[in-house]
Amino acid sequence: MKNANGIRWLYSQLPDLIDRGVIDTSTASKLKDHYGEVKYESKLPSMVTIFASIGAACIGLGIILLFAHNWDMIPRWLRAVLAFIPTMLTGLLVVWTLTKNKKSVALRESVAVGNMLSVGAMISLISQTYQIQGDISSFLLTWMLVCVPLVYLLDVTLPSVLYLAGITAWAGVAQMRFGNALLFFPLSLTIFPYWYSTLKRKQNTAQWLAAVACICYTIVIGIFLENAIPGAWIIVYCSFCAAMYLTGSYIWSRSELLWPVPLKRLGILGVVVMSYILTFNDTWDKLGYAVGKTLDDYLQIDAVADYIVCVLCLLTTCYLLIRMIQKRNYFETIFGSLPLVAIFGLITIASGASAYLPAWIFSAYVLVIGITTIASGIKNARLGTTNAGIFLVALLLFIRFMEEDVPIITRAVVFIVIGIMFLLTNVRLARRLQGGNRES
Amino acid sequence: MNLKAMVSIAVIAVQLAIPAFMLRNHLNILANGELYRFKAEPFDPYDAMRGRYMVFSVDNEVEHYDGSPEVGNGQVVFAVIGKDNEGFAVIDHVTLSRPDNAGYIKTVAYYDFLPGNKNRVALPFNRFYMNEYKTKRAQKLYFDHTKTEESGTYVTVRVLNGKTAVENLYLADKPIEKYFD
Repeated sequence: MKNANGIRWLYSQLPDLIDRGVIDTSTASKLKDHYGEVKYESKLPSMVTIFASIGAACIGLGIILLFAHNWDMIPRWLRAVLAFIPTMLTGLLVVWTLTKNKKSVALRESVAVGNMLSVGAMISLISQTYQIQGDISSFLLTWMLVCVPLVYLLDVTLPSVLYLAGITAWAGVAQMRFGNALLFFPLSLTIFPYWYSTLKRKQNTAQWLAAVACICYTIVIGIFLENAIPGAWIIVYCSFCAAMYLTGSYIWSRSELLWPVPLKRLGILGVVVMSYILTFNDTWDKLGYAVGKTLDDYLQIDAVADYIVCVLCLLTTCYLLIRMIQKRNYFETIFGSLPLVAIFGLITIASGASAYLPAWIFSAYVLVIGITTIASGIKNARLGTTNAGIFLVALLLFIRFMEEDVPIITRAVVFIVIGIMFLLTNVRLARRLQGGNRES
Repeated sequence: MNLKAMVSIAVIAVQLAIPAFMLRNHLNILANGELYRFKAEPFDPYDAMRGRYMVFSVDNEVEHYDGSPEVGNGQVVFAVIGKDNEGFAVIDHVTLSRPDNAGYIKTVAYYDFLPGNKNRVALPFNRFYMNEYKTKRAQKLYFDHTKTEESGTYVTVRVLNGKTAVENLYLADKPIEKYFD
């Protein structure tokens, strides 16, 4: 895997190395041929885009609040006309941007965000002015659906993030108000072609959009799951977190982008959090009871949707796991095996075993991922990864000690050993890294 | 003009058409709907985006329910409007099919309907927007009024084909805005 930053550094050193006679020009050009051209990505356009969009959002929100002031000295009809003006103006800007074929990302993003917010403000203000009641779920859904075409028309990312946040909020409200959040899934897919196009163009936004979508999915799965089968949430969340991590590793395995892969990080975080949750006896002991719904509240269609989500999440993870095994990526395979371990845990519970058994199976699993992380960190001489692995093991021991009745002397000895492990590993790795630097 | 620009014009037209349709339907209900008075208990909440406005609770209990039709939580029902002995609107009963000769509101049921229980429907109106500087005083007026009198606070609602439009909020039989003239 090429390290873009390292190659950039090497190229910057070449003129000096030639001047000092360390290498000749032909060697320098051979090095350049070998490593190829490195794309220089400036962070400036991204910053301009972000701040321009924040500016547009602030203006939009300011307009909403200004009208929400509810001036009653203005006649009703005039207030209605005023409510339409921001959408008309931002709409004209959208048309102008497209007619003039403007390429500026900052302009397109801010115009789209401005239009999106003005549409929300317009519907709210008309409702307030004329005492139109309506309900929040239909408002959110209408607002999002009339704004989603902007994503494709202007080729913009921030409105797609707002759209995902909007349909997530809609899912929450819809589920609460006798509805069903099932529609969230097809609605979220409307963004998929745009995301795929950013991925094809190797844009950083593909990673961030995928991460935002996964956060929204994590929330909606929690809202939507009926838990018709006890423990369904375990399979779904374990598979989903593993799938996030494996997808991030699979798509961006050879990534040379400047940003770290957020989807991979989210996935790892999810895998670790789920694993720790499942190391507790109580999680397995109260399986199926830790939900706020009674059996009478279940709708048949929701239960069917539960099964579909379970199977889809599991199949996706299994497919990605097979690909990882084929590519001999064992580190990723161990982290991605979380749902398989969870299913094993569920089988032990279903066969009448005590809740201690799956909890201890997961303790062993956390120990394995901790040791694998330490090994990977040492192998690749990465201090951060090694420390993360030691931290995983230390946290597991800490949790177990809090839960179990372990003598204080044993606790003290184990913590001293962990402390020594931290120190020794860091010192050894630091020496190795320094040695490597001196050699280079 | 390129294709994307032409599509964007259509999108903006749809964006503008939605509140226009909402407004047209609302004005139609106000002009042609039957007028009902629902007893209301207003209070003044605060919302970061909406500012201050009045929220009112209306009695949504179904007066008569004999166990038929069988109604489940969240089921769409037609709430038939009746009148109490003071002439205020109440939810008389619910049906699963659209009634022919009565005022009704298309809504959803709360919890499972069971004979003898307090069976309720979710009424599609509970807000009255007014100047945010007047809402606190409006609430005080309501509290002062209820110290001496029990009735006289109500909301007028127009009903047409199962849809509703709030007309005004009354305190002691006087539109609340009149207290600030």
